[in-house]
Amino acid sequence: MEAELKVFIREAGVFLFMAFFPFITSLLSYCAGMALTGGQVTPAQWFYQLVGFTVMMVAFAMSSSSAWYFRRGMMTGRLEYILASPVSPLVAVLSSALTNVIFNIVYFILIASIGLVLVYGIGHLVNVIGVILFLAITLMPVIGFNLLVGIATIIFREPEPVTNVINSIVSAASGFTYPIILLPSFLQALGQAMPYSYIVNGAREILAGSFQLAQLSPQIFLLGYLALGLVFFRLGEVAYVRKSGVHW
Amino acid sequence: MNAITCEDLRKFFRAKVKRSFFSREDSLIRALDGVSLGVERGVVFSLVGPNGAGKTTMVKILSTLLIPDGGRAEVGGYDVVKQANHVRRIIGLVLAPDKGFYTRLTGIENLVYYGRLYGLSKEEAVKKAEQLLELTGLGADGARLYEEYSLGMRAKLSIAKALINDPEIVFLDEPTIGLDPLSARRIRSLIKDLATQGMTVFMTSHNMWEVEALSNTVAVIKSGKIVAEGSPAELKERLRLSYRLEVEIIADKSPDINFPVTVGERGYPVVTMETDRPGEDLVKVIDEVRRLGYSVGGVRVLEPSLEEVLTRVLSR
Repeated sequence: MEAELKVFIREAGVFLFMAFFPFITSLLSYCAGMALTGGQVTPAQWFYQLVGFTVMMVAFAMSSSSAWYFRRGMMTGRLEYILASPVSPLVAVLSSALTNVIFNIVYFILIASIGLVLVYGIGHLVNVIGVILFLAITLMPVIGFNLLVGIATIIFREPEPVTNVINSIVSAASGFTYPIILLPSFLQALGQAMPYSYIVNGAREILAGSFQLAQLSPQIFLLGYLALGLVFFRLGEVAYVRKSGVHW
Repeated sequence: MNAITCEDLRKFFRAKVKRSFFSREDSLIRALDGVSLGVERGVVFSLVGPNGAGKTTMVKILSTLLIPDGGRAEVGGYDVVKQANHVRRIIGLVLAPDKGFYTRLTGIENLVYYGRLYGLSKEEAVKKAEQLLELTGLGADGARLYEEYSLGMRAKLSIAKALINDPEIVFLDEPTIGLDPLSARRIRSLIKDLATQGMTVFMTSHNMWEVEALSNTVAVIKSGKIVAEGSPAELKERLRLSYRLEVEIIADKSPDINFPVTVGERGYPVVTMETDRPGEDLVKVIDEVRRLGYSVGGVRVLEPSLEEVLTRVLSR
């Protein structure tokens, strides 16, 4: 985990791009909204968009991190060295995923804090503590989701086709920038089956100070994703060993 | 007990061969076809052969990366399939000298990362990494990012990585490929030191001079089968490869002598002959030259090289 964290820290360019993106896109949609409604858009609505775009970036990064971990591992030969060591590849990939969780929480908190201060004032910053705890819990199911994508990459070898499809579905159905009830019913169902709609709504409500603890129950149900991810990861390992003869 | 034992080891790969636009046919590639061998502890064992002969497959099976389709192999007394985790703890591995590291980490950070994979505490890993950086001549460059390393430095770091868990057996797959002569020499010296310390080194290489200089035992692999095995001297003897004798005669013209004569680099006549008994024949030639009243300008006895062994074995 330490090595992965150092790599993240040294890739400041990526971080900066990731940090700029939600500000730019939310500002664009704010301006578009202002133009279309004749100035009826409030700063709180800009903040709604900012949180949405930020969680979207987190979702993209989290969904594809295992896929890229394996792909980079294959390309650089690191994966073979991990496989030849006494450590299970699952431990290695989980460490990488947990590092991603930490990185993404920091990323979210930085952006959300700026938005929060700008819109609600410095007094609301205390809500950030709640978001940290909330994300630490809700990003756990995403690790399972992440493992599913990772094992698909191991089997199909290329991460792009898998992650592109996953990210398209996630961004369309998770209600990052619009309420999920505006979607057709099948997309609503898809969105509710994935963890991100709960994350984005929960984060918004905690930051605005309107979150109730009872709302955490769906997140606990979503921990099933983690179990599912672990089971499918194991099944994927077995399938891969059979297919390729690689001693996983 | 041998450090490495293989019995009838087999590995096949399926490849798709395109027959037409719509159809493909499965083709079976026999990467290893019944390999049996034993490697004693504390020796340098080299596996040589042409590209695609099965060298890397062999290394990958012995280092637990690939599962054999038949036969069995033991490394350090442990079965490579059933006791893979035991094997992993006692081996070091270099698969490609310039791969396997985080580019955004420094040399020492990369070594610490691998040390942690082998269960070392942070302090132990840092201490061990520092020792290995010194050993491989990277002591001054440990704090530099891996992406700034030259190929030679990367190769040294790969060797250091392979030693991070104090292995009993080290597998080196072409450890000096692409290196400049100085870096290659440093790596060879390291390999020699490892064997001196009692470590078993299993290496593959295309550099026959290097193999000959380092190895106690050499096995030649061709199309997945071991076709020759022994010490470099034994292999030469078994194939009855001849020595080449060259005796330069200080004379203006070719003397009337009972040996084949050519003109040497300095323009003097040179007796040049292939022989199985270089000592005896050298004395005979020198005696003859002196009997005729000439002096000897120089003598060269060229040993048959391992490259000749490989060429002879592979062309059979």
